[in-house]
Amino acid sequence: MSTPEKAPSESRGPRSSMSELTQVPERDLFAVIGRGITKSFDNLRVLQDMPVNIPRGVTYCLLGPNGSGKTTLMRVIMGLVKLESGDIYILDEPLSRINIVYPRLGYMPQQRPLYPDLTVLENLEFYAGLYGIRGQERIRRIDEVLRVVDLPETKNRITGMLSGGMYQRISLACTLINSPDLLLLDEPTVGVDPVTKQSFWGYFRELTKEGKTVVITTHIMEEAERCDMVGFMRNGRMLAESSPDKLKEFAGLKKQLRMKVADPEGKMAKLVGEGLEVRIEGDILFVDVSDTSKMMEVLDQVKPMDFKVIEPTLESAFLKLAI
Amino acid sequence: MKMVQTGEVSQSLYRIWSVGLRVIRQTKRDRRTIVALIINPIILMLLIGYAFSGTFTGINLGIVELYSGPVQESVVNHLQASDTFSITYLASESEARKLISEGRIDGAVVLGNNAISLILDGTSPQVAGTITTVVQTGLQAAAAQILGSLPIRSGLPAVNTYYVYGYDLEVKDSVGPALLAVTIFFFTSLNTTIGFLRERLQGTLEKVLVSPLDRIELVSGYILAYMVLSTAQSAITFVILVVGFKVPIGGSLLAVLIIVLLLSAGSLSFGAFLSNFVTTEFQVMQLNPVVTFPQTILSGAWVPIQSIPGWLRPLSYIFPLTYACDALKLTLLKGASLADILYPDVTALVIFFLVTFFMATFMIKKEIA
Repeated sequence: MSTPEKAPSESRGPRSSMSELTQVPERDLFAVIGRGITKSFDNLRVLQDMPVNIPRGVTYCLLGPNGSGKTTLMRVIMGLVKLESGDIYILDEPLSRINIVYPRLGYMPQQRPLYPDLTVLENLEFYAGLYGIRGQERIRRIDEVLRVVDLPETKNRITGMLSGGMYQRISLACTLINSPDLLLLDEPTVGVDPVTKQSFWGYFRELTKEGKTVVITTHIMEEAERCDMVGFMRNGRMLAESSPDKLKEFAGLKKQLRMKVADPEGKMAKLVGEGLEVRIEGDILFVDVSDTSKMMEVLDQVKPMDFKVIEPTLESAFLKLAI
Repeated sequence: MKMVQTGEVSQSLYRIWSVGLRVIRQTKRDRRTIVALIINPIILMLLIGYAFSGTFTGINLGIVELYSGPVQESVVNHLQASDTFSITYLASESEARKLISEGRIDGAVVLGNNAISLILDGTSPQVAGTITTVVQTGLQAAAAQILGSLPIRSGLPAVNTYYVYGYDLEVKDSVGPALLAVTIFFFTSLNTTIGFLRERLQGTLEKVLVSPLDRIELVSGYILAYMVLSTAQSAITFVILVVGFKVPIGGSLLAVLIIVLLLSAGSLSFGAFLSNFVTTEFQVMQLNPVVTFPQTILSGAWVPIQSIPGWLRPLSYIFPLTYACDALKLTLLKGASLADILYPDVTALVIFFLVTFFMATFMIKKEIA
């Protein structure tokens, strides 16, 4: 049911053209904006004529099953992968001038981005050095990022000896060393315990409050639910780009009424006769309702012994779209 | 405008310095590498120095016939019959000495009435040994043939051996300087191949490439670090040669340092270039012998180039290691100055570095997947 044609109009990518993006008047409101992004590896289309719209100052999640092209899209945005065709602006600069954007980018790759044989401090000093941060400023920045990730005491520990969660936090600290305006984090919470995961979301909120943009990739629903925006990818296509709530709506998901009733079969026949979608489990009926007034109507009619409203989850949207 | 440019250069240098410092810190923490750095040259020098001796062809030999008797004739016949030598007839002993010191012939036999002098190049002990052996055989043959028929048992002419450098070098001594080159080449290229591969497998290379650091700065940072490491290694080898093996060191230390730095920068870029063709450390171990063994064997480090069959010799002259070995032998043992080795040795090493540096920076693929 879900073809790109069904994607919301705001993110449907017509064929790219340079003029199209240069004409977007609010281009500078986007941290990343792209049209017609296409990339193949060995005749395999990894990204197919994809749009992307990442507003500034939000948490944006690239969500999709493994192999849907999330990482490739992220690397295209950073100029790590040569684009076949398409047009992208990053922090209001065209991709061809990505080099001048690098000082303002923070990238945390999926593979381990730290030198395991160096201490935490040495890793931070190295990355600070790449951005020309030195002297007193370097000391100050290192203290600052270590405070952000709550690990000031790990300075002199060998990075390879850190636990998974600590490692990810130090990776994030290294990514923050240049106070980037745009953070691109490839699966930042993989192998991280729930407590650390929680604190990551805290950091992200802090960062977006400062006006920074945080882009993450994930295939985990709960993480996507927590982002301001979700770009839902599948097979190298952008199926939808919107807030998690809107995405559920787009997937055609409705609230569900779970009702315990005395005469399930009879009630069901009646509801189905009205054109509603009904599922039965013993004496329990599940009815999809489009809005609150419809819900009240059904409740009035059925008069259940007990009922519950089930909100649609992003996971169900994901499953519905992914099929 | 000019201020901006100076600022950019200093920023760029600072980034290179950051990479160099990081590589040195990593090496410092790796004790096994440190030990290998010190132990490898010693073990190689001892093993190879004693274990190798080859069969020679194309040794350039000068013959000075001051006196022509039956014994002398027999020796000359013997030298001519052997296909080991290509023979030049010379007028005087002083001319022979001059040609040897210029490296144009490998040794000379001066046939006098009562004595036969062997003037040998002390820096190639194996070549010297071969000449000595053939002359001795010639004398024995002469003895067997003609001694009985001689009216007076005047005895055979005495054989005196002179080394042009006044020092009877042992094999290990002359191999030492070349081994310095081999160790630097091996150590640097292998470590960089693995170093760059690891950066690629970790996310570090990707993360570094998404920063103001460009590819030229990255490779330059590595070069900076390995120049320090190679200088340290050379110093160690040097001390071993001088203190341990009592090799007389002539020549300019500055020239030696320049050769070492050029070779190390070239080997590093070469290693970085190679890392583009491997995906595991296991493959590095498989690829490395294929790439480095021919060089080390044909470089004239183990065996003089004269003992390498003619059809293989063009390879020797392609390999940069050959020039590094030659340059180090010339400076350390023959006291050559930088000007003496500028062509072809230093020139060849500069070309080697420029070509590999270009290939290395060009090949650091951004597309890793």
